[in-house]
Amino acid sequence: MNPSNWWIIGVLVAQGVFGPHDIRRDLTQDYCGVCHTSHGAKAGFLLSLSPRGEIQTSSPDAVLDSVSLFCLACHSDGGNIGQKMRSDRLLGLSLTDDHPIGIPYALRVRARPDYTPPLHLPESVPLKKGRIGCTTCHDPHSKKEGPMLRDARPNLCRNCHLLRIQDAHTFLTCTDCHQMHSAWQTSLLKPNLATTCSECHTFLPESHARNPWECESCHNPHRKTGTKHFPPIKKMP
Amino acid sequence: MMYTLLLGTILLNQLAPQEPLVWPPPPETPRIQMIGILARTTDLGESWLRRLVRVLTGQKEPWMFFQPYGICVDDSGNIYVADQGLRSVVILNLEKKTRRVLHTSGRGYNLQWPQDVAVWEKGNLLFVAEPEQRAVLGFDRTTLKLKLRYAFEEWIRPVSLAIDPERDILYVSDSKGHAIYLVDLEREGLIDKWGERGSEPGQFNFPTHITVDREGRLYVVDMGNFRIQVFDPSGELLSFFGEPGDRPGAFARPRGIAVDSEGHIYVCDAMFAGFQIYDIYGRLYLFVGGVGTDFGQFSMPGDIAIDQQDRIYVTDPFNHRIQIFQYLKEPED
Repeated sequence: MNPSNWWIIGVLVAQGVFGPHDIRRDLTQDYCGVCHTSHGAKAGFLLSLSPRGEIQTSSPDAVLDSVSLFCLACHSDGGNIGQKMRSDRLLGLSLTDDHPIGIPYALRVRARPDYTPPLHLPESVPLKKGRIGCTTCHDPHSKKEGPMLRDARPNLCRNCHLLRIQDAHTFLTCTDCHQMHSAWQTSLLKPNLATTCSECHTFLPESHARNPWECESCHNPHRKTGTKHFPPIKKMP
Repeated sequence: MMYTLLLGTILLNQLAPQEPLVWPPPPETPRIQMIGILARTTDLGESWLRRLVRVLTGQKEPWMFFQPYGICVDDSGNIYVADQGLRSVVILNLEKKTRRVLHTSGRGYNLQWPQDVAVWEKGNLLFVAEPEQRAVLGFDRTTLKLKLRYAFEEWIRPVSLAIDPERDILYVSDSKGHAIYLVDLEREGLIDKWGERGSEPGQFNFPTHITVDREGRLYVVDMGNFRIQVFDPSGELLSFFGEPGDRPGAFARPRGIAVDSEGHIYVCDAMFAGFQIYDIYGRLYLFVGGVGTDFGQFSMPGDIAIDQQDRIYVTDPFNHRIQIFQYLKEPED
């Protein structure tokens, strides 16, 4: 790289633009050219290539945008590069167990009051041609929030999900019970939710002695009262 | 040759395209031929009773893999596939038409994210790379019992394995540690470490996949530097080639690597959806593949392995299958 461009690199580094994507740490190399190109770009954001493909996701009508496919060319190799999604989890080789991407947001949330209407979505969660992509939640140049997120959780989640933790569990964030990638359970719950519940709820009443591990079959952790048979918890600790 | 033809006919019955699919396409002399796909459990054959039950009950043919990634083959025709979706290693034998699944449930030693596999014939061991456990597990090849567990403090992320059967050395590439480690299999100890992070020749930047050819040379996919580096058994750098780019022959997102009996280097590329064939000087011979789900098409291929008969096995994780090709040698006079 031309040494006269070093000040640009310096400014970008100072702004944290590169973030965790420091694949080529040696800045004398073509640093940006790993992903971007000046001419002949084949995908948005001047991305150099577009790996078209048919990737199975959690829903049949999902179509991945070119930027998400570009991300997957590295982030689907089972963890060779070492990208960690959680402390013990990786983005696996399929997207069937991840937060849905590629789905048409407007069609999916039609007549569902627990989602933000498409026209009211803030600009901080950009859709790709009306569909959710990797860049809806992640900013590949940012290292401000956790794994390159656009905003802190749970504010990021609440841009779309109006379902709020109303009274109960106010001190928790979404990711204390849910995980976005490689979840293996319905509602993207953590694999050992019962253990997660019992971290706080150590003493169960006697009526629960038979089946202490299926909390969510009676309780709704998002509501104080209402939808299910029992109020969730009378007193929060 | 007979065996190849036999296998070809077995596979061709159900799995291979009707017309022979070859690269380069005619009128050029064909070099690579597609001989089959392994995707469903019935691809290994099923008994007539099973078939009858399945047809009557309307069951679908069950998938054999979920997310196959790492692959290796041994001399007796076994194919070992690390499947992270199943959290297991699937062992196939096309000759005997058998399928075995290694999913250990031992305390503390269960397979979490099996990344790559390698077979040591002399010790009858199957090695599985477990990057999340920072370990390499060794299983007995016949009983599938856990025998060994290599977990050295220096390892950060052991992702890929290769075995030099002449010198009884296990090569382990550490993608986050940016180095290659050598494990002596006889003495069961770490003997050497090659390289550190950097872009100079001999240095690594995310070495993700490795393989050893028949002369004991080690081939490393230096992913962050977008190049292949070739070492001799003493650690001397013999050759390196490659650059990032989207032209044929360049590397976009290189993945698995393998070497055939004539020394050609096969490198998968996720962005190009196929594999490219080079010689040791980096001259491109051929590109095989394409985007899609049809025969000979990939969506982000993973690892590649080549057996004694020059059959090429490529994992195709997003299509949940393995594709098998044959390298067609020059006819000998």
